[in-house]
Amino acid sequence: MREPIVAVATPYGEGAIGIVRLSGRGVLDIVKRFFKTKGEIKPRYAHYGELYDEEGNLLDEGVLIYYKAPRSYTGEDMVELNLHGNPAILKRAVELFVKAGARLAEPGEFTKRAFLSGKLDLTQAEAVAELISAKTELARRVALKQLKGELSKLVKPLREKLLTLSAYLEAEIEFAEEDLPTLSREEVLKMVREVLKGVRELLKTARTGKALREGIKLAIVGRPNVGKSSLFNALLKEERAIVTEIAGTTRDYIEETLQIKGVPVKLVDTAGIRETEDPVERIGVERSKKKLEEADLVLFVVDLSSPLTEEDLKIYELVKEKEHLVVANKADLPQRAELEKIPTENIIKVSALTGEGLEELSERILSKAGVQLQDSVNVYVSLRHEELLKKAEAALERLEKLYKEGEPSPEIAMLEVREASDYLGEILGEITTEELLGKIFSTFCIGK
Amino acid sequence: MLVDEFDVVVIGGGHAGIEAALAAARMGAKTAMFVLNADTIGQMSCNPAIGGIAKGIVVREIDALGGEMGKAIDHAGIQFKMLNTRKGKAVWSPRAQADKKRYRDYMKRVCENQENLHIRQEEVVDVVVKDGRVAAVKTSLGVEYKTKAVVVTTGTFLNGVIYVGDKVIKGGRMGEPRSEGLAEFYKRHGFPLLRFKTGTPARLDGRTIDYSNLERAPGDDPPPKFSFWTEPVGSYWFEKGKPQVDCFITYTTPKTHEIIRKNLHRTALYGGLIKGIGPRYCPSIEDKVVKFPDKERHQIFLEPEGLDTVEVYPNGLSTSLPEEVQWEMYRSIPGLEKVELIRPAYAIEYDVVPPTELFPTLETKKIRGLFHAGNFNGTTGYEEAAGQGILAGINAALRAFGKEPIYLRRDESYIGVMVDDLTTKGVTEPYRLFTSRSEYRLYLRQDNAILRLSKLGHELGLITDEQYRLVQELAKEIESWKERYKKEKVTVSIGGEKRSYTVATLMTMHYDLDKVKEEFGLPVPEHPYVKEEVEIELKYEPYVERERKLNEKLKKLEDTPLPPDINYDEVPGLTREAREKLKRFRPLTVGQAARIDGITPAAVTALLAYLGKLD
Repeated sequence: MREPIVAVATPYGEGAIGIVRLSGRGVLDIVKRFFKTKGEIKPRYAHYGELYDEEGNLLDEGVLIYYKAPRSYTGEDMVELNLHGNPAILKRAVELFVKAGARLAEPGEFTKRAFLSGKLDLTQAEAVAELISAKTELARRVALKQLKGELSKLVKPLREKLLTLSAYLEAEIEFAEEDLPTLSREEVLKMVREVLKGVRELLKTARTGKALREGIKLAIVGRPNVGKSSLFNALLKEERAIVTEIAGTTRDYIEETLQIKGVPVKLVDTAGIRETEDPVERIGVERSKKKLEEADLVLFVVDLSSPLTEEDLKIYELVKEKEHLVVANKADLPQRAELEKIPTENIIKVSALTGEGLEELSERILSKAGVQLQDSVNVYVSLRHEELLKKAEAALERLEKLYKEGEPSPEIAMLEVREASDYLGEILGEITTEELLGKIFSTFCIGK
Repeated sequence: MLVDEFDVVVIGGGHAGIEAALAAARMGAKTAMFVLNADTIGQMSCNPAIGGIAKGIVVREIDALGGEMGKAIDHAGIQFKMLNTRKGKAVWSPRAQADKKRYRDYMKRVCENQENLHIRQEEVVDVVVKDGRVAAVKTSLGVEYKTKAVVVTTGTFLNGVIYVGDKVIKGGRMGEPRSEGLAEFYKRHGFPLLRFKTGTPARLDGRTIDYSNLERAPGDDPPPKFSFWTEPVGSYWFEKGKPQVDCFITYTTPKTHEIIRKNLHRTALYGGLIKGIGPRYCPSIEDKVVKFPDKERHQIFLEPEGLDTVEVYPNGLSTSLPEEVQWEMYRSIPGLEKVELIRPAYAIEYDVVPPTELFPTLETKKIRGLFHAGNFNGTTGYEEAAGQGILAGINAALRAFGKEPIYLRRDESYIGVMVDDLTTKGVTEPYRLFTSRSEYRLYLRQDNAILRLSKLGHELGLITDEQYRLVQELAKEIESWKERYKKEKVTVSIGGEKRSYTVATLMTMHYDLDKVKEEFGLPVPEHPYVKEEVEIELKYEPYVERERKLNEKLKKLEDTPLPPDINYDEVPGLTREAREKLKRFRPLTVGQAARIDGITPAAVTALLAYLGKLD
């Protein structure tokens, strides 16, 4: 077992309960030096007791739970001490345990140990990190499903199918003299396409997965006084940015996170993008342009109640190459803007003041950002998964091509099968093992 | 009583023992081969054939290291075939039917005539160990021989038990005594022993077989040979027109299966007598009938056992049924209606020391100078045995000379793949080589064995200077033709469109050099081996490169050594299981560790982290 580590497991601040968690060699002994209970401590029982400091002064009372290796989260001996949620008490407890030989845990170290002990596969360990950092309820639910192994459940059958295909191809190579059943080209193609379909379906969730994990980065641009900040606030539903009648008062960008249907959205409010001589504002403009580059989606705001200006059209030139939506604000006032000057389908009329059109705007933002939320989908893959899936997809496409063009020699086809299978295995954190021969022998009757 | 003194003692004169003894003697070690019966040196206990997929490649690797198996089968072969010719050349493999008696006679003669090699018909019953090193061997007659190294190749003989139905006979092969004493030695030194099982079919009287309606299975013309050094030297093919004999193909019938099912309880295996583990890929006919009940017929090859005998080997019909049922069962097969059995089929159980007791040099971890090779390590097959034999013999000689033993890497030979598999993963059933066991399949080919391994063979003194010079000349020629073809461009019209390709690229597109000569009038290599090799290498180079890239991740692990004095208790993040396995197996590299059963990717990560090699 590794050296003992300790950390406060609950968020900083006052609360009803605060938990100090320890894992590793001899943690129960460390805690028992300061936490006195009646009777013997049994694994997985809640033991009431009192916490004393080195001089024997009573610090707090609380509940101790002991998990014995390997039946714990980290796979090691663990202790969870439930104390009162006072930062000073918790800090003091941690100090005591450190003096007694534990080390302060690094961020994520408990989960890392769980992975290293084989308690979690890689997708699950990733899910723990995501679960902790989930910004919205939906992101949390998705992470939880991954922790429960939903992604593994989808990837494993794909790999299993490739393994079956391998068994046939390998048997063709290894047992040339035996009258074994072989797969026809059509049958191979059918199997390859099934796997390919599964891989592509997972890939389709990648943009949503990215949005759920990282949030959609949304930039709001427009000439001064078209109501960008009002729109921003309307979406945020609380006052954050400074809103005045004087042009150029939103001097800096402000980042805020809101959620649309459970998807985190990082709003990037930009200072009015326009030519300016004011050095202070210049910096804001530069940054705004940079922000524009980073954004997944740009909301270009115009004032529906006044005629479009040269500046509006200039800004449109800047944003039209990016993924964008044109938001015609102030729909509560009579329309005076000639919207036909902006040649795009992506125009939505809203009123930040009355809330008119905001619902439609939300939906358009999600669909423009490639987010597809479906009740039937449990898994949204991450960037790492996406990269591996794409590599697997490429190998499968090469394989498909080989069989479309003719009957490849099995050892060449196997090169692609192995590559695809390796990448899928990597998603699960598995180095390809020798499951293959087992598969061959359970599938075929071999041996002359 | 001390009679003589040797550098290397080899126990056993089967396929492993022969290669071990010859290699050690040829390297200059004074070597003794101890056999129970000097007449059965080189006996083919089971099928009368050498080679096959992957196995044929091993024979050529042995040949490239200066071994004897390839030459023996070239001499004693009566039918030669290249397998998998309808597939890519990377998975071609030679196989030959042998005249068993000629094979045995050849091997015995070579051993007898080998300088430095002494044959002793005596049973070794004990190995004397001093200070953790081999010191001497003792025979059953109480004689002691001093020695610096011992290679144990007892095959199926150690505590062998033969089963025919409910008849149980002690023996190492039908009609031959088993060896017993050594089991005691192993127990005394704390080696675990496993029981493995294998079987062999009956031998049929060929005069009672009706071949008239059976399918003929002839050899190839020109036939492939195994040794680069058999005439014509410098090639892997015989001349055209070599005389060969036929095999025949028949099939089991529903009646065969019915007889087996009805008598299943009377087989040694299903009757519960045999506890040992048998090979999945060399199953008895009762195994096949039980495990694949839907299969209507099983293919049987009828293979002659030699030119001067009427005996025929029915490949695919090994069984442990009682003898009277064997007669009934065999006679239910087309062509065998009136067959007579000369020798009954039997199953055999024997002692095996798990190969995880060995370093990849095939030396035991417990006793310096003690080597194991062949079926005793839990493998099946003559070729697997011989491949281990030559490595063990080489290392026994090196030990005797006070030099460090060698090991073969996975990316340079199938022998390396096999020994690594054996010593890191151990065996749960008799181990056989397959091409799919190698992640370097496209590179480890039959055609380039001589190019891959003759340098090592030469360094060890097992390939002569003259032989090695020839290989080097050919290799140089191959390289220069390849270079030339990578530059030389020709214009090909495909669907009316003219395009320019290098000859090298053409090789990847269904062209061969004959076609290049014919269509473009370009010169091609004269030497047949050079020509064939240039073709194959150009064709496979892009794929071999891909294969190499796929393996790079593994290679990194392979190239990360684990210090011999590593204390696994200090490595954080290892489960108890992983820790115990690592302590027991003592892998030499992280790559080897990763292949140990029960070492999870997480444990590998932990090892890399501990070694500071995690990126």
